[in-house]
Amino acid sequence: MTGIEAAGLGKRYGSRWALRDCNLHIPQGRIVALVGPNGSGKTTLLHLAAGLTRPTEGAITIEGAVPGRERGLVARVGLVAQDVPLYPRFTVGDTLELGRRLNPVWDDGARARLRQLEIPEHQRVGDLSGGQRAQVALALALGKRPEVLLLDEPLANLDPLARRAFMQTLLDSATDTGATVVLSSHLVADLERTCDYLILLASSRVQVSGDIDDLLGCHRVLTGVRSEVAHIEGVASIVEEHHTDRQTTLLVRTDGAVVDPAWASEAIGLEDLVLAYLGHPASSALPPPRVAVGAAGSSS
Amino acid sequence: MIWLTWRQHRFQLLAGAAILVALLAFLAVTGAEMQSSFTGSGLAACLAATASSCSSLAGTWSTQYAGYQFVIPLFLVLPGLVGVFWGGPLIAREFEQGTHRMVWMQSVSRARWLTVKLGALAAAVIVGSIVLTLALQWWSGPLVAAAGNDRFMPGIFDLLGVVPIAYGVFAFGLGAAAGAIIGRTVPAMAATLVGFAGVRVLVEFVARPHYQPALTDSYGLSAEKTTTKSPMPGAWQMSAQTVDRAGHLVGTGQGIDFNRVIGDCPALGGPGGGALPIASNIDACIRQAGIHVVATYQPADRYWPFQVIEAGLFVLLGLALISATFWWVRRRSG
Repeated sequence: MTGIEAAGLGKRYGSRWALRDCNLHIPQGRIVALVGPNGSGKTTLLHLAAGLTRPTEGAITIEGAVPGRERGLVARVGLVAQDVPLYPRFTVGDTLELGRRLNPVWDDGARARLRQLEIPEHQRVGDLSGGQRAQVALALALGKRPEVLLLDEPLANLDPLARRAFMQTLLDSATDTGATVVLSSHLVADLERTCDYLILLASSRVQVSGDIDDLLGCHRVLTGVRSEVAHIEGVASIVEEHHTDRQTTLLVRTDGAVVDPAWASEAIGLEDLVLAYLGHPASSALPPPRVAVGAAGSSS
Repeated sequence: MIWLTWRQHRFQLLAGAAILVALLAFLAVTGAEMQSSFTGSGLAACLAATASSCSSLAGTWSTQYAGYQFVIPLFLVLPGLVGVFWGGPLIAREFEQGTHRMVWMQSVSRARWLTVKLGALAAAVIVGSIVLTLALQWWSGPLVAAAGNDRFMPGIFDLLGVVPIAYGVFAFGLGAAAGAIIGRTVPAMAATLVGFAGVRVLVEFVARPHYQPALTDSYGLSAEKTTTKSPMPGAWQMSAQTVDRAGHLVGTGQGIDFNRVIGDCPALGGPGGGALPIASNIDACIRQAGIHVVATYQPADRYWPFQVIEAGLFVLLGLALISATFWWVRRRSG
């Protein structure tokens, strides 16, 4: 059992379910885009994975261990929480010193990386730019050499240049260590080029999850003369349909090749795919259910 | 963790230490001067010789230090300030800025994080209040002695002995708990201020008089003595009424309301026909009507039991609040 697994995972705050019926299997070493509108449960899922929050129902495991319960797991899981919380009065050096002193394993490569980025060690974190702060938070999370790195909207409030630099650092070190990375964002464009796995959350539920190449491979945009849509050979389900006076456009999930000559078939980009699913909450694209995992460790 | 606690709170600790040193310096300078004049004026010797009456000497001596009255409210609010400025922001600021998520993702359990944080600062609070209370004990010695050993009186009781340390522990625990539960700095500080003042007033006026049942005693009074304080040195006199032989009230507190003694002493009252209320006439009236004072009080030898009971109460409250803080922090989601 490797990677991150969730089975029947749910978290309720008061009477509101922040996350429900979440079944996931994220293979080890993936760079995962966790996408969804604000309030869809992204932060809750990341906090559950980090062990900051305990599930109300179901279970989540990281490399087979239950976050928040297994001692020592926290040393292997890094989190850059939303709004990049750091002590503003600490200097950059103090912040890294905090990580070095509080963790059993510490990689001082973080210090060198920040030096390369020309972020001075004696500078107070509160005086840094948003991009520099994010880099310091990332360095703190990477210093543990985590097997799983969770990042909650790390790119929010960063300018495009800072975004690129941040993603560069992230990818370099993920490649180095083979860590599983989960990045949340409400913007797909941020993640399209770097991620290879997609989890789409909508209204507290997982709507889409899977390898991005597989997802793009099995979705097609079909265009044809306006018609009532009947069964099309090779189409498993229709995600979205759109009619003009003369034309009908469909976004479909396929289960084979679409060879019907009445329809012209085109590939779709990730952003359009995500938007189509977000616009149609009843549709979903999920891998077939697996044998329930983590049942032994499920908390009541 | 200790490094982190120091790095994070060193400004607070240094500011607290600076204030402590300033207060100690003030007490040392003024206290030394007061001690020497206490001895120099002969008041110390007079009070040491039990038989003599020193009231006029004590009165004169005390008057020149009346300006130090401000020390009483200053030291009364000090534990509250510790709660507001040290306890309140301690956890509230972490929750407010989200930095608890950053720290809790390091390999330190929440319990250990909180233990070191609370423990280090609580130790500083306790050491600081012990030092300050000892200094105040020495400083206020002459003033308390000159005032007829009034250390049991509300206001003075709260500054000496062991209770100030307990107030400090309570205020700090209250601040920490308010911060953990409310999760925002300024509201937590406000709640601490209100809570500390509320509990202190409640205990002082409602609980403390009943730690042990009060005693009732009566004593005579005379024209001169109506102005002196308690005839029971060191006791906490809680209420007094002046009554005549039949038990009729002739004055609240220790004193005679002349309008009420007309029946007893027609010679004293009445417009146009009575004697002037000069001392000899009043004393004659007191003898004739059997006027005396009935007082309820806590005797002087209960000072330390009361100190221990009150300190115990506040320490227990403080520990309960610290336990609540632990419980809250451990069950907090995210």
